[in-house]
Amino acid sequence: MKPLAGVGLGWRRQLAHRIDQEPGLGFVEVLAEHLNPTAPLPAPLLRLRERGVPLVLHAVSLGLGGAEPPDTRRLDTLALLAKRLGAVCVSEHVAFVRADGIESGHLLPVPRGDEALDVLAENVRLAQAALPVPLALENIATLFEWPAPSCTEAEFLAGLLSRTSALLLLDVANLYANALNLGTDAAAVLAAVPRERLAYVHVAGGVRHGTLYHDTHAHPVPMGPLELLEALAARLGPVPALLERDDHFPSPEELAAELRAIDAAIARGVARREAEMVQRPEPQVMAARGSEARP
Amino acid sequence: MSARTARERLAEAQSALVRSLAQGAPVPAGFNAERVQETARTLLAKRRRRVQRSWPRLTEALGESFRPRFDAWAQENPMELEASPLADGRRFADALLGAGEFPDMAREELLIFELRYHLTGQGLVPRRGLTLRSMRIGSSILLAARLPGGRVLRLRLPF
Amino acid sequence: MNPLDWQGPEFLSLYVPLLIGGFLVALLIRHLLRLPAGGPMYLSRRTDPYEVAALDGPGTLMEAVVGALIHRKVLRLEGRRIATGEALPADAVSVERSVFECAATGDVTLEVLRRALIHDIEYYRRRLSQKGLVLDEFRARPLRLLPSLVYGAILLLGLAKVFVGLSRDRPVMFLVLLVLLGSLGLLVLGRRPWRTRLGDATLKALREEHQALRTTAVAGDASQALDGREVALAVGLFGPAMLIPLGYSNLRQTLHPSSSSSSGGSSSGSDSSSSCSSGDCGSSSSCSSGGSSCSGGGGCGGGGGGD
Repeated sequence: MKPLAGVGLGWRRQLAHRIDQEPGLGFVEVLAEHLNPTAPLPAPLLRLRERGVPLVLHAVSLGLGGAEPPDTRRLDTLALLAKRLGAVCVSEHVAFVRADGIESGHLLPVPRGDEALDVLAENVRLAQAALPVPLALENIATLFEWPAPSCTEAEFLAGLLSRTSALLLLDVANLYANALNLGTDAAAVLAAVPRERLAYVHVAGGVRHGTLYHDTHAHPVPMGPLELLEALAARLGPVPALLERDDHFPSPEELAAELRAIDAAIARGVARREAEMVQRPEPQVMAARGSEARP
Repeated sequence: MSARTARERLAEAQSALVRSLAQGAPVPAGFNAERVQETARTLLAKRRRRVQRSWPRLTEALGESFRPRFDAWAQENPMELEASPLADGRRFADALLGAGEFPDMAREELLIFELRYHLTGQGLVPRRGLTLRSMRIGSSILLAARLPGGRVLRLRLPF
Repeated sequence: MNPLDWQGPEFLSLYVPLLIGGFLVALLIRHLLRLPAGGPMYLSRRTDPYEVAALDGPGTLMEAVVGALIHRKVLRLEGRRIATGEALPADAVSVERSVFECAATGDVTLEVLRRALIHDIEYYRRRLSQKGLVLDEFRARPLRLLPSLVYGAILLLGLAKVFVGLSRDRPVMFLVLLVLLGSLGLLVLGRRPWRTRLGDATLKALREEHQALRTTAVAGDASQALDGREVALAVGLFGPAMLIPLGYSNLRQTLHPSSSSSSGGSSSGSDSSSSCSSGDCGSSSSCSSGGSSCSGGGGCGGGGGGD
């Protein structure tokens, strides 16, 4: 997959003008459920494509974490949309959305166990086979967990990466939410992300309601997710990051500030990484010094 | 254990959870009931908000009674086939019509929907070609047409 | 051979096509005289949005200014009145100042604005006509006169036949009606022209260039995402109807009290038709007429926001 770079913004009709005018966006994410597969693409998206802005296609209704294999009609539609957009990759979620014919309308967590992981991995492989571009999987936020998980979220993601060749879409806001609401070990999840499997990062805002943190995509991004993003960049170097905003659309100044804050967090992480690399010289240099020190 | 049996077990467990979230069935054993119920409330709120956005006139017409009516209906009628707020709202409208509680103010919105879409057993199907509808609203008659290509034209006759 | 001597049906078989053809020729003359023509002029990104609005027409300019000032809270809607709100910023342009003063001293209606903004409208007209986008007085006059004269001559012929027929006691009702109906055509031909053909092409190109702005404006809930200048540009390019999805339908009703029998119902309905027919609503999609489908809103909690 052609690597993504820089800071991106999720395309929404209310942000179409801003995205069209913004020269510095690294890439743009388009939601599959907002597109009509039988009609031409909206003109602003065609323009982005013509200008060579990298596009990724994001979907929510496959339900790869569900018991059923992914629906072939949905996969065909995604493949068609991906081709028409010239999308660099397609992203979906580690979640299920329906069971027993009932649509939940929500992304629900997958049980963290070997059986569920096997089913998920098989669904992912089926989806990959049907799509013309690489598939990336996003971690979700949830208020509850399945009883008696046999591994941590970090281990589960690592297991998924080892059973499939899919990429990862790391959502630091969801990770932050889980850390607050479930006590998830965020650092362990960050450590489980290999650079070559990371497609891009999601960043979004949220708000606290009582004791719980809600990832709303309708508020400014708080420090928590930005700190996780910084930590990720400190581990892996520069990473492509995309801001998701779905509601209460901000003024142009506020939006620019949000994008700058993401850029700054990545820059801080990269700076830390470079500082650490200077302090910790490479092993062969140490060996050479060692041989010099020997009388 | 074969993958198929794993799928069956997963299906059963996920059904129980979804029924609890969408239909108020008991929280399955081992889950944090408070958190699951909070998620159920979130699901319902999300579903309701999306229907309100898709059916603004109906929302306005029902005012304060939208929320209790919708919530009560929603628990008995989970979304099936597709998570489309347009279809969801249309089914809710059907329930209101059946009970004779559909507000007059929202009749035009319903007419426009009928011009554009057809709600079938397989879900929402967009209409194609020319469609004509008429409706009596108060003391006037509303004629509306959907032209091939998608445009909707309206004409109000004051008699 | 004097056509005035012809029998009724014979005369009509000449006259009806002559009338229709004459009208079409007159329209064609009008079209051809709207010079300069040519491919679209490139207007820089920093072009004054009010100038673009003026290119559409003086009415659009007025509503663009009012809309932009309301958006920036310099004006506000007080019931059915447009009143002043915050102070006028120091960098306000002349046309904004004029509208502000109008609101400060009395009622703001389109007729009042037309008088108050007469100098500002003239200013933009001059700028645009210097660029060849709008017709100046010198070119506009023959454009109204010539086609009207050509068509008027044909009407006079019909009128002459009416008198001839009256003097000979022949039935003339049909011809009278025809001439009366035909004279409505003079109203069309006598309209003040605004844009040149170059202006038409330029406006068309600008509209295509700014499709993303239109997408944002009609999306609803986008009000905060645009600044005053962008609101003015959206109105200027796509018409004052843009004020409705931008959340200013009350403003539109105040400025146009007689239009649209039903309230916001039909207008927002027509906006959902325009946004949906542009192809971005699918049958199974959760696209709504207003906001985004997968919006978190408040309390989306759990995994909901993780779209």
